[in-house]
Amino acid sequence: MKLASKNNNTSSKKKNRKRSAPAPIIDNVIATRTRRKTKKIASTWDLETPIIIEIVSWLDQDSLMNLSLVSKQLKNIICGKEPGNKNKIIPVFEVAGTSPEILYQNLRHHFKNKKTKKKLQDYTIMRFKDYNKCNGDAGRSTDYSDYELVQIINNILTRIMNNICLNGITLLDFSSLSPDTKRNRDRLVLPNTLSRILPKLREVNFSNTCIDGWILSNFSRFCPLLEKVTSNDAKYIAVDGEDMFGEFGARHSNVLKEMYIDNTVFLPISYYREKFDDLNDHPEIFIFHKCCKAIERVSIRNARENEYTDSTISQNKLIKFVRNAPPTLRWFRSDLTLDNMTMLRLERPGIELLN
Amino acid sequence: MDVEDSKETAASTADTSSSGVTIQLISKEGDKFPVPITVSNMSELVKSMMDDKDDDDDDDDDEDDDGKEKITEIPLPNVKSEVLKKVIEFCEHHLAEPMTEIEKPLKSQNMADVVQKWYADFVDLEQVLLFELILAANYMDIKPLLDLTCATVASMIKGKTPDEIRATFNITNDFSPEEEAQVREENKWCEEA
Repeated sequence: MKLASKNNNTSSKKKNRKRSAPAPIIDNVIATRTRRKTKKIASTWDLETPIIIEIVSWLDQDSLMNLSLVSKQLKNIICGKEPGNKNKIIPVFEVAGTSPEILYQNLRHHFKNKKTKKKLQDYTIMRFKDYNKCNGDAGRSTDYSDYELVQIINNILTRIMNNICLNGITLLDFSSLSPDTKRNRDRLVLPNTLSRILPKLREVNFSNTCIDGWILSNFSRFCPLLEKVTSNDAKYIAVDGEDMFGEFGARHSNVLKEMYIDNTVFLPISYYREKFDDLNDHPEIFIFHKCCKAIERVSIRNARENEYTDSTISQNKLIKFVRNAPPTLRWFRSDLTLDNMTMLRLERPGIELLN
Repeated sequence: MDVEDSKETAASTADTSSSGVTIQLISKEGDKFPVPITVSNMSELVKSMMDDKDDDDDDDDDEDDDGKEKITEIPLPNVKSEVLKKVIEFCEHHLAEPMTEIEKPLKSQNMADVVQKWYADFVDLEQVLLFELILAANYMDIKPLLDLTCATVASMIKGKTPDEIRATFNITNDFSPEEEAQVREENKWCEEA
């Protein structure tokens, strides 16, 4: 692979076999050891664009953003339509703070201005900054009750969320650097309402954020393109996958491809609970059977069946899932024992099993 | 680079030849660097020039009239002796210990965290020489060297603010404050809630 170069003159013509080396670079294009020349060259970063693109290709998003602010030359290469540059900046809509009311009021204000409204559609990632470090509804001595929570959400939905829609957002990053130790229920308001304004969402990341089945069911209902869910602190998730493209989102159940939901506490389902462990009968009933038509990758390490006791998910449930999961499944990480993984590898060699 | 030094390098490189076929790489200054063909073939440019040469000579013997082995000369007028010496050093080492693939995007500002120590030490260079190596790697079409050198420049960018990047590479800021603010907003919208 050679980057396109103005000096590339290496192609040979068979008829004229005289070998000639490529034309030399003009002297002093590259800085030499003298201070003067170094300054001259570095001030324009006079490298050919393909080489700058090659350097840019190694950078992460934050570095790309910083580099685009260095000079117009670099901004044009990074943000322009340079052919060959595949490492583009993905515009981020970043939210600091946790007040859903203020967020939606601000959004409503932005949407009144046509120019701003149009501009907001350019952002691809919606990210909440240090969500767990914020106080939430500061000053409250007690947590919200379920009733209060529903009231607040309904109030937001009816009063201030009308006509707000961020069509460009495909990734919602709700992750935090450290686990949520406060676990206030007011924190549930934002994720529960956000699903309504992100219809093109494909990926949601709740790492270190406490979520529940209610939140997931809202995303399954209002985000029909959702392909990937990441969480490591989810509670009360229906073991049959009802939350994720179950009842509400049945029409989208062939979309969900990746679920990384370690440490999940499943919601006990009493009326057909035993069937999930039954290895001899009811092959149609297994973990996530309602949401896994297109599933490719699943991680449910350290899953539990009860919040208050150490009830690790049973081996039978995990075995039954591997045996009956659709052929699209090719990666499964769980607490299966080594013996069970050895057995299942023979039955389903196309699935990579890990723990 | 001192010509005597380059001759010493050339001699030592020639001694390491094991394939029996030696190529003379000729730098911009005219210094000759004999290297084994296995080393020179890491350059797609040299390789293609050798292929052309083979086509030219397909009816000729590989020996001169007096029976001595012919040495093919490849002129590299874009590459200074100092840089060519480094290129050869890289290629020779790469044959003995291939460089591991560097992961994108770069995970660390420290090259020793992303590639073997020898390679991290190899690119611990003055910036000027590093950029010359990038151009040489591109010109000679040596992908692992291009990867290593470009990743090294990227590691010098990673984690730095725009001002720090400008200072590192001595780049002039040609944005007005308003233009800079606009670019910032295009990249990231910051909403307080």
